Amino acid sequence: MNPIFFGRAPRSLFGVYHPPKAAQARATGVVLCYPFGQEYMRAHRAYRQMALLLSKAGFHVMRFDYYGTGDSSGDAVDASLTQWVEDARSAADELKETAEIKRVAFVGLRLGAAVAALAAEGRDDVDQVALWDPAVTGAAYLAEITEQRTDSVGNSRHSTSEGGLVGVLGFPITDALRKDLGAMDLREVGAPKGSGRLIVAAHEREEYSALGNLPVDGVRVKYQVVPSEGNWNEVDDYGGALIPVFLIQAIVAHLSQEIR
Amino acid sequence: MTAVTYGREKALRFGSGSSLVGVLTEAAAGSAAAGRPGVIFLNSGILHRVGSCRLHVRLARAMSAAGFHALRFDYSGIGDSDQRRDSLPFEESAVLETKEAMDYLAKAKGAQKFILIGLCSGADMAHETALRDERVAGLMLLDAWAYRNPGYYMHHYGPKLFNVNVWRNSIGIRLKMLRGSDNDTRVCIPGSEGVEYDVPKYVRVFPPKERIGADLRAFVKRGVEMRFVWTGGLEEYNHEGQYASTFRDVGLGKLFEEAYMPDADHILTGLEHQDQVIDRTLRWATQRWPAQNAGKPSAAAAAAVPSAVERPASVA
Repeated sequence: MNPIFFGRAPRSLFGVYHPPKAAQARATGVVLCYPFGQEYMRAHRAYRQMALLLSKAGFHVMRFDYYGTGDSSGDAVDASLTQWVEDARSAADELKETAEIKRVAFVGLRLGAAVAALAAEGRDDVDQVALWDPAVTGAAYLAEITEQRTDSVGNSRHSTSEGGLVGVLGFPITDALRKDLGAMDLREVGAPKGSGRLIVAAHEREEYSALGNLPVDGVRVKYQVVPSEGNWNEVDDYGGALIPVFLIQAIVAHLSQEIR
Repeated sequence: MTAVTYGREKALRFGSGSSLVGVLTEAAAGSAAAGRPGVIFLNSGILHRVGSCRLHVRLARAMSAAGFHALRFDYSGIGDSDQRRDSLPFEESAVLETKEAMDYLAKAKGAQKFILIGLCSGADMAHETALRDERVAGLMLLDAWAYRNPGYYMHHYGPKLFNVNVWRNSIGIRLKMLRGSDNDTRVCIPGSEGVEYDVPKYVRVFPPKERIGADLRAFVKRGVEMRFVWTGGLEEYNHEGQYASTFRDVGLGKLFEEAYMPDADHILTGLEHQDQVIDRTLRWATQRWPAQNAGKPSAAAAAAVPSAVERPASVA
């Protein structure tokens, strides 16, 4: 795998490209869209594992950090969902160019699922979109991540900087991000004609099944629950990871079956 | 969290078999990097190289803007780096790979000395590497190994001294702790939930205090600059000055400074705590290795250092 920066400075993004490791490479690449904040930290290992499995299944894979997150350029104070959707589209274009392929699929976890769906919307080169434990509405997601919690010292996990910036579990939530989330509703996001959509979840939840049963014009929708332990919206005192192996395998199996 | 003007960033593979993945942040153009030590960030637990709450990225860029080359990378089996093919225990491979990071920065940027920065297990590995490689000229450690001393118990029990019930209930426990039978066994296990996955195994066991004292003597003899910071998340430390007092006989002198952030948790989720760490680290590094006298640490230098963590007025 190759770690790279792509895009133009000062907005260059960090990505890792995994070439196919199978005897026969597939003609579609997979773009992995990370979740946000502590969920990004906790999911990094799982994403690497998923990228390795997809690579072994013959896919070209790109995982990347959004602007203002991870190793990518920019500050968290400049983050917005709108920007991240643009970043996901750039990552897909970069993958197509690097791998010399014409088709892509998107996979996203939690808020990354919204990024994946929004990035895919309106494109004509998308085969599949996999939404993993998706944040179905931005408002509900925001309410969930801003629930008050305390750390081992007994202090709130939420903080406010001198400049008035609100932090949740160590990551700032900007006004722009808050505004974008207020307007985000996956149930209203269309999907590329002829593509497939997978909603895959670790726990049965009403909003997942509602999304899974929502017909989308010209799109094959599949809803699958793969029982797995853990809750993304948690953080321990040492920065542990969450790696739901069976769920990751289910996503890889689905993409392998649906995409040539 | 103000945008700082930092140098070019480069994604890398380096080390034996190019198995280690990292990001180099070059010193900003026009900044005075010549002769200054390179800065290397070490993983804490299994958190990848960006550091807890992205602290390493922000600090690397602030250091770059101030004139330091900075490298953040993943130990083998952590983050994006490959697994090792041998069976070296983590404590050994981490030191070896930190040396490889120094070798890379020496070759790529001409750095001859290095500052190692780490939290928790990262602090432990920075300490171990400094012992084995004299190129380490500075240590900035967060929640490093610490040891309870009489002052610890004064701070812990002081407020309760006049409560008879507390005395009655806890005297047996306190005697046990003062005898040393209830310390040195705290563990920090970087791990994963739900599945056993092939990450390096490291159980944090605090070495005997006497060994650390001997290590510190060696650091002082070599002139290693040290800034150690503790959060409220490490049980063994509860008041500023505890470390210097514990190792009073070493004579850490002006090479050493310590700070206590009692309201901060171990992974620094507070935005204000992150800002403090970045600001104070930058101040320490630029004072100890000032541009005008690069390469020779100077505790006396006290040039005013601009804050790298001021926020733009537009951010609400």
